[in-house]
Amino acid sequence: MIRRSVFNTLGVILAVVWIFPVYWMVNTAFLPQSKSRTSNPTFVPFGGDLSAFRRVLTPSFWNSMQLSLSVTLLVVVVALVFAFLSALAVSRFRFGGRKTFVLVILIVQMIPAEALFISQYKMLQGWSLLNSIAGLSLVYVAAVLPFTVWMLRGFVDGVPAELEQAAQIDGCSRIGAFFRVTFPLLAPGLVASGVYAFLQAWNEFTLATVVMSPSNKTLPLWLRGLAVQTNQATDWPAVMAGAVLVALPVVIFFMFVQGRMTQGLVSGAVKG
Amino acid sequence: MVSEPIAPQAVSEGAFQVAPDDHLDLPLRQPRKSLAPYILLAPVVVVLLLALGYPLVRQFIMSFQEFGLGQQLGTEPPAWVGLDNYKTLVTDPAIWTIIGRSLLFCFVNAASTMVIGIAIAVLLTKVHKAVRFTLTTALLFAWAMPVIAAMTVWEWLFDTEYGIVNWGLSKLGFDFIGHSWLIEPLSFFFVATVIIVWMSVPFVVFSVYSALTQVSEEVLEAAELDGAGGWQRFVNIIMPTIAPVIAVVTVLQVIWDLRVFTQIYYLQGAGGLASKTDLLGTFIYRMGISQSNYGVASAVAIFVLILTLVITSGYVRTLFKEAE
Amino acid sequence: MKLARFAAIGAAAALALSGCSNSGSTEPTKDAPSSSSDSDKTADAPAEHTDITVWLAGEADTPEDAVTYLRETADKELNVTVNVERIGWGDLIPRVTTSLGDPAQTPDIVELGNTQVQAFTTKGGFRDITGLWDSIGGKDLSLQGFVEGGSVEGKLFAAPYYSGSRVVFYNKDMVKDVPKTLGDLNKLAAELNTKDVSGFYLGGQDWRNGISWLFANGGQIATFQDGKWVGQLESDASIKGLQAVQDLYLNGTNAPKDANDADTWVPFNEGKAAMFIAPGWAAGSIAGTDKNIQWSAFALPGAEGGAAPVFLGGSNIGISAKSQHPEAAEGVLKIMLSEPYQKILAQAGLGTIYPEHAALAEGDPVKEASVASAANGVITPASANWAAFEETKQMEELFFEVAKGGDVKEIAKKYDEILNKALN
Repeated sequence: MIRRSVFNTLGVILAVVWIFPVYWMVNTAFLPQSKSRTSNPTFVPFGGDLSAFRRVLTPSFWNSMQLSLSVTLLVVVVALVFAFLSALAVSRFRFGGRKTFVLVILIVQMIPAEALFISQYKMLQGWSLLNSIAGLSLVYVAAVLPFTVWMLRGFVDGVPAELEQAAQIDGCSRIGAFFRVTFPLLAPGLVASGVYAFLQAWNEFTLATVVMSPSNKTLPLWLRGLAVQTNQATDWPAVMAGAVLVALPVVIFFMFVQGRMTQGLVSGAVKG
Repeated sequence: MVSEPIAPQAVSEGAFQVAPDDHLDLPLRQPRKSLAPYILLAPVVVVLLLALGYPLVRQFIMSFQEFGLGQQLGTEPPAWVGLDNYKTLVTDPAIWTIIGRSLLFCFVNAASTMVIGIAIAVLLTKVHKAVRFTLTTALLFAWAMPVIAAMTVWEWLFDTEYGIVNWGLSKLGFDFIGHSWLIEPLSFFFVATVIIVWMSVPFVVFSVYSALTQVSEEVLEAAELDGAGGWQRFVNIIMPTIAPVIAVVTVLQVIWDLRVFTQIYYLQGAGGLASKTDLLGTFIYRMGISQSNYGVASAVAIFVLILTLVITSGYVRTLFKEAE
Repeated sequence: MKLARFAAIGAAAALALSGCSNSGSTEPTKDAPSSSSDSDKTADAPAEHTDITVWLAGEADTPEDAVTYLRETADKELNVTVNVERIGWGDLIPRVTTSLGDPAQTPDIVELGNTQVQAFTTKGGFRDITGLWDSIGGKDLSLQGFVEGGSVEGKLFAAPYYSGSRVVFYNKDMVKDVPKTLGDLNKLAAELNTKDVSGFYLGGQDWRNGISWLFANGGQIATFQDGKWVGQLESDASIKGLQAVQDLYLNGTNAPKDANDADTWVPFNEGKAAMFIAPGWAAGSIAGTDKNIQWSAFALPGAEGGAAPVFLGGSNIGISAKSQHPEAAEGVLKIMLSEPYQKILAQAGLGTIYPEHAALAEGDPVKEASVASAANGVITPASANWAAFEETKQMEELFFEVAKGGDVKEIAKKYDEILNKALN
């Protein structure tokens, strides 16, 4: 059908547009330093090599990778679980304080956090949680929760309670109904929220700068250390190579989660 | 487990607002008053109180104090200045221009992002599997790209001397060699919008697409068999299901676009003229952090909070209007 | 109940993850017992042993050899273990802001950029080291401009550490005779300037380099008079300087009006610029092109000849007011300001506090030019508000307007007003 092919073409064009800066980043990562900024752009890195990648795969990179992975995975798991429970409560139950809770969650997201970091530093220091995964994760989870709760609530609301009711009439317990019927439908929402939470924790750097000690950096700090130079020229291929390496785990995480979730979806309730 | 097809009526009633009472009073097994919701909420409340309680209270208090480096270093005590910080903010001649600019910028960006995002999400449901995979992957990679790298690449693309955009446009016949995209404020904001929409759309697409997958295929087919056209199906079946998610995502876009900082800051550093392109985000930074003037920074933060509340008040009121 | 089980699994996972990843990744805190992981000394020291933490700015700005010398000397002569942390320039201010005021977290010695240090010295972040500075030479040392920047009411709180100067790099095929005065340079740039080649590459917003024309003609940005800072852009000398740089902008360069001081060597490398000005370390970016350009360097000439005053980059260094071991820290700081340590910096091309190190530059045109231009080097007005003012990017706008060809006197008036408000 003509319509189909128009859509398909449009889809491909959009994909090219969106991937172009990423392609440029990867392209630069393979170029020698002298070619990274010139008036004759190099579109395909012929004669390029992996030297920029070799330059950045230092022990400090692996240390940062390990730290970022630990913190981020912890934050994603905790935030999703907590937020999911809250979304359930708000969406499927009646109770005093429900409106207040929803309102507070929304308002907290509106508060610019620019001056918060000095107070959060003092707080963590008082609890001896500076330079620790627990400390950093705590502030990250708090930063991510309002949004995650808000998002998941939207998804849970989008699945009408009648579905569970119908399942209960058919003999399931309330919880059973929830997990058999509604939960699989929420899977994509959980993925979207999860990836967002992952990205927030993965890319944050204001708090990471002051909470972690200088030799214990998360990846964004490590990358910034490559990019911001005052007394020497910036090694752009190395910065881009570093950026590629920083972006990879996010992509892998998404692919991994997406695969699992889609499985659950296909075998689950909708097609029944 | 078979689920009964849901009549469109019930779907639109039940899904838009926080579910009204009659859908929740399930007759079986569930005691009317239970501790369950409170237990479910407890983890979130505890974490938020712990990690944000003290800092937020302190920020609020700081907005009424003189709090700069001296106070931060402990060599000077914080002094109460009442509303002085707020006065500094409100009497700054640039502030109203900045607010106006920020509101306009926020509107243009949020609207563009939502329209493009929803359109792409719907497109995703209509394309071939391979195209869907390609587009999703492209969006994901764009979303995953670290901001430092993304901003640098975008600056390079629009660079006056070496940018691909100028190079490409010149090859197409227009004379764009040496054209500066950042000097004129309008052009500056155009570039900023392109970048921010590019960065924000993936999130909108994934969220809306996830919501779209919740729409029941059977209901759609049934409606089509009943004679409902494409647009009617969209408005009566699809929209109600995805409406909560769209509302959420829109509000979030507004909140973020109002406070955008990083992208504007980078672009100003690449050639934009700060006095003509400052938005609320960079303004907060200049007034507060860069001068280590945390008292004023806190006041500006509270001010932006109030501003955001005012703008999103429509949505907030909708939230309030539910059957008690 | 499935929900409870789910939550429990989540909690257990969180605990497990935090448990197993916490162990290897934390640095010993300041309160931890002595032995530092990067020192290989033995533990039996006769005198009282202390640990001193030094924060150096930039991942590689201070050469590693200097750090090694510092550790060994401190260990041998003071029985002090020096723990050096290199802080990236982007992280430096947030870290110093949160740590400096806290006795438990503060580093003992901190390096800060020469424009950043006033904000902290004027608020009591550092310890008075006037005595220390005098004891190693005081007024006989170089970088006196940095002394002013690091002092508050006559007392020194952050000593000069090193400086970096700017030189003019030129293409030997295009520039046959090095210009002797600034006026000659402007003329030469205008002659060499064609549609494709800039006589002298100077971006419209590149104030850090462009301001040299102002200084060279005797002008200044601002001076401290009667207790407040007064903008000096409207003085005759400054106007002359701004007109000189405007002349270059209009006749001697093709550089875009929105370019600043980033990547200024790129057009030069492509043969599209005859001259450009940059800090000495830019030399490393000129090598490695496939055009095989023969190049050299000279100090920007003054209005009457000699070397023009240029903007000096560089750092100050001081002891935290809340340091728990101030005497030991003073000992370590003395080593960092000592002749052998500073000599290592000089050999890396940096300007040091010892006038005799200037001789080390002989033979290398870039280093020689650096030394010459640093001799008259100027720093930014030592106002506590200068760093914040720089952030507002008004200097970029000032130069942009000059570069576009606006009326210099009107521009000077406008920005003097802005300066008067911002610096006080």
